Amino acid sequence: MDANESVDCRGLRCPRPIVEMAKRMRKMESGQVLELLADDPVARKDVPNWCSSTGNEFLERRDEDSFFRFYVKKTA
Amino acid sequence: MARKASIVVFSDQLDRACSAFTIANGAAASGMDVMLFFSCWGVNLVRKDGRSFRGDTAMNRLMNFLTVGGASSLGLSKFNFLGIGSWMMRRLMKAKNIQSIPEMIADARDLGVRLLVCDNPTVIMGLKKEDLIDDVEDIIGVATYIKESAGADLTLFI
Repeated sequence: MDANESVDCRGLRCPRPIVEMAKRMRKMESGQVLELLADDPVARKDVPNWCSSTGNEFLERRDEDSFFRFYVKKTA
Repeated sequence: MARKASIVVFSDQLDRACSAFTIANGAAASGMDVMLFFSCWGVNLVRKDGRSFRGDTAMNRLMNFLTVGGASSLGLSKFNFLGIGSWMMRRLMKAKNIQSIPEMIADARDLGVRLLVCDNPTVIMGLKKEDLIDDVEDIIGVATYIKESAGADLTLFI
């Protein structure tokens, strides 16, 4: 999937992936897609839930061997 | 209007502070307006590092001296063992990539979390605004806290 920006949060624990994603999203424009890399297992629920809290669109999660790729579209 | 979180931080212990700042930063990152209200011992978290000997009276100055300020040298609410437990906890947090309290305060600043301080403990400990970290917005009384908390979707006492 094509993303406009990417944030690597591998190795970081809660709440860092969410915090780093929120900070980056602020600088992006509506309609742009952010790729987030994380390996904290709670991110699997946290990222879609963050999207529903903030009104952004959760597009997809792709599972790699040792981490996850999340794709989030800025719609808020 | 954004949803609102109002969290009273009563304690100055590492474990409780960790919980308070994790929830505050997570809430702010999730788009909430977040206010942390530091009351009683919680004020020590937003004091500048170290000891001082200030205040109007001798007892006031002693209280100021005996309560160490700063977020980098906190004890645990249990399992502290004269600081050994707290030292172990900090080592473990670092090893597991969990943020320290000063790092969480820096994130709170970036996310626009508001830090407000209760008036009474500052009087008891002989503290002035300049003894607190620059991120503190104001020293306030209870009526202001109540007004600022009105309509909060999340209220916690930690």
